[in-house]
Amino acid sequence: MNRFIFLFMLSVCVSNAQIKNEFERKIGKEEIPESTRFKLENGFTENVKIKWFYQEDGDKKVYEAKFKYNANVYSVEFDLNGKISNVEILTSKNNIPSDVFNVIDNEIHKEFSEYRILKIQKEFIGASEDLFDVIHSSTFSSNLAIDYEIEVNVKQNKRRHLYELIFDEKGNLTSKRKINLKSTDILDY
Amino acid sequence: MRLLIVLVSFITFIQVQSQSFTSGLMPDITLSYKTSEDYKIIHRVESRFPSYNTDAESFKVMFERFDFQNFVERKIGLFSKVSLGYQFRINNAEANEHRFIQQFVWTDNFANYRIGHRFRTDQTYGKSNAPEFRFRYRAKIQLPLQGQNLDDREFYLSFSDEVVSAVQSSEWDLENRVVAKLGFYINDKNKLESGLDWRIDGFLLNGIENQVWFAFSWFKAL
Repeated sequence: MNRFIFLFMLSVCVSNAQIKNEFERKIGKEEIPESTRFKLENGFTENVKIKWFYQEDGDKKVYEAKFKYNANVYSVEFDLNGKISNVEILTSKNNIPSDVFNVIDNEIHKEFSEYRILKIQKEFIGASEDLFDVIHSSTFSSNLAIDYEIEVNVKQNKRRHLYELIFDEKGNLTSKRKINLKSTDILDY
Repeated sequence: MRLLIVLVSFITFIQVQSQSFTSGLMPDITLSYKTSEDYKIIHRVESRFPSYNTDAESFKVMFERFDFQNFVERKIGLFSKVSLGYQFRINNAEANEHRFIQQFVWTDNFANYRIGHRFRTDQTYGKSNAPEFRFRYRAKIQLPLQGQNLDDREFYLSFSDEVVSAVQSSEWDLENRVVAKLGFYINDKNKLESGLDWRIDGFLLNGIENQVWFAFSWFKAL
């Protein structure tokens, strides 16, 4: 009986973990530690308009800076103490090495019968200095870990769903989460 | 105060420009619930209480009509749906009417906003008037005010424009509806909206008619 309850609780936890329920709110720059803003803004060679957000994703709470710089669209994540944790750059399928994309394509086809890519972000994770170098000078240290975060419209059991899939540098699937769609009744009726 | 001056100026401008002008209150409630993964039932009640028109030239809140709408909606894609509906209208001054509605909607999602597109056709039958057939397209943009995505307990603005082409007794007419509302997305199951709904019709007939409605909406999902 106890084993049954344990398995039931585990399955509830796993199914909850597979749903992406993100919450974000625009915030003023004054809410961000000054030293963090200085580190980010000081390295720019031109005027950059930064939008700051507070974001919750499950238990994870972060600040996020979104901006365009050197023709790239960035999302930079900071923990609530202001320490940079990752850098995401909006990219396209053509910018992923073809051998890596072939692995990604195979991995997606293992899970879903059809898919269409809606958005790809290349994510860099590593030491603070290396992450700031990615932003300010497009220098990519070999110490950085790379992920591909891909949003896909998929067909599964004859139905369409929206998923967030994360792949490592070699194209192996490391995370799969269904994205909760916002209600559209206010747009339809 | 500034908003009030703009509002009064806007209504005065419309009134001067048009041959006929009506204004009043237009509340509506939409209730929806899923019957399966793909199907949804929607009930909607809308009413109109004109309080001013240029013919009467007096302010008096009156009851004009009640619309009871029922839809069966089927999801056909990730962001697209088709619906079939029936409306029963209780009119104060004329005979009650029956309307059959068909619609196709889809949503375009962008980084900072969403646009809902709606194609609708409807056919109206009643004893007081000849059958009327309408073809409509509406685009509605929704802009979150406190972030990029619309989250619970977040305010948003919505603007829509709808072109309505109608034929009745072989006579065609064109109508345009512009709606601007402030909304509050309480959560996925409750949303409130309030704003102005400006309608101009009679483009192809004799005499332009203007209507401005103060609209209040509640969207409830079970």
